[in-house]
Amino acid sequence: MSCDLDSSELLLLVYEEVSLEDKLRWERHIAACPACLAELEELELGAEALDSLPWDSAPAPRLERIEDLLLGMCGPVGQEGPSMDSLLDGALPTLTRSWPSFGKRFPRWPLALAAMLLMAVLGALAPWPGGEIVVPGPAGISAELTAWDGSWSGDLEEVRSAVASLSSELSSHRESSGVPGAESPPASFDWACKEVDLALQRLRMDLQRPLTGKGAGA
Amino acid sequence: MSDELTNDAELVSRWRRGEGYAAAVLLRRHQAAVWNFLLRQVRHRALAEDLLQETFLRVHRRLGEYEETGRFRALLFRIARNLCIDHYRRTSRLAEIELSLEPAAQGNPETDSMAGERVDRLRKAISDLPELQREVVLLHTYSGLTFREIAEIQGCPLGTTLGRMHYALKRLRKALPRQEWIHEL
Repeated sequence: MSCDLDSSELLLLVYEEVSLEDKLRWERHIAACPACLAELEELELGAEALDSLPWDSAPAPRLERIEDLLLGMCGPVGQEGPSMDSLLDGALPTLTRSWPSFGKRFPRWPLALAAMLLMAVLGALAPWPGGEIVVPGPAGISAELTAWDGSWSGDLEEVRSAVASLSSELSSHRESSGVPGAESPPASFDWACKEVDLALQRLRMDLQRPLTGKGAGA
Repeated sequence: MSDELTNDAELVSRWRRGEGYAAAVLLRRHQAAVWNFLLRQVRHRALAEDLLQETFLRVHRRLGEYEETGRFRALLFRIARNLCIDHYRRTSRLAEIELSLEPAAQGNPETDSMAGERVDRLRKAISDLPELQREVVLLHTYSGLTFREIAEIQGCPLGTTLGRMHYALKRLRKALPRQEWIHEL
């Protein structure tokens, strides 16, 4: 190249690993430098070819085995499942922080109910020798009511159904709670839903441990 | 989705406290990147599986070295890379080992066949690159690491890593007809 720019550094531009400031500076230079432009085009062709290479996935059975080993190395876990503190740690505090500015428009009660659901699900499933909760999406409302009205038997299918119902309810709530003038709910609401979902996923993973003997030295 | 909600540092912190789900989330989050790197490096599926497992087990044993302000991916790939180097030392050379990859996603058989041949040629060209250049290509292309992360893993200045990638692209371009660069898969 006939200019001072290191052609290797053009790679940072090709892969967008450069600051906006540098990007603008380099683009100004390239617009006036045919040699750099030609080099950039060549590098982009190569990058496109490499980016088009398909990925493979690690075999699922081996992944499960590694997961088993890691869980086993993380210390024994009682058959009663995770503690409530562990389950909700990092989830609800974040939810609370996410919501204050929407307190009036988006009440916190769905989150409180979702938290109660977690407690109910955990409490009901803890004595179980095993089982798996399939969480279809963000948690909702009605399942909590099912869990706390005293008639819930702890049947796993019922839990699964309740969680699905919960998800549906909160989805509806989310859709109907959009900011006036906006087409979708605020990001904080979506974030809150995902946090509940994450907490449920943690619950799911922990519940799998007594089922398969993971982490229990079995 | 939910995996994105908790960053690596937070998950590592929980992993160190013995919360197994955090290790599992990190495994699921990074397995594909590590797997694709290992598979292309050692070019043997069963061996890559073993190295993938060993990588994460070693990460567990070395969690004490991890600083929460550090980058988990750097630790992960340093370990994976060192395992590959150890393996090379033991076996001296792996060129004889055939790469056994599953076919690409199903689609038009004729198109797939052409694309498949091109992919095979490209992969072969990558495998023929000098070791450090190949490493940069694999870590960047298959593992999604930035050049700065790769430089950290390789223990060299950023410019050196960029130079390796630059030379690698030039070699690959020479190894393949120009129309194969341009032709879309």
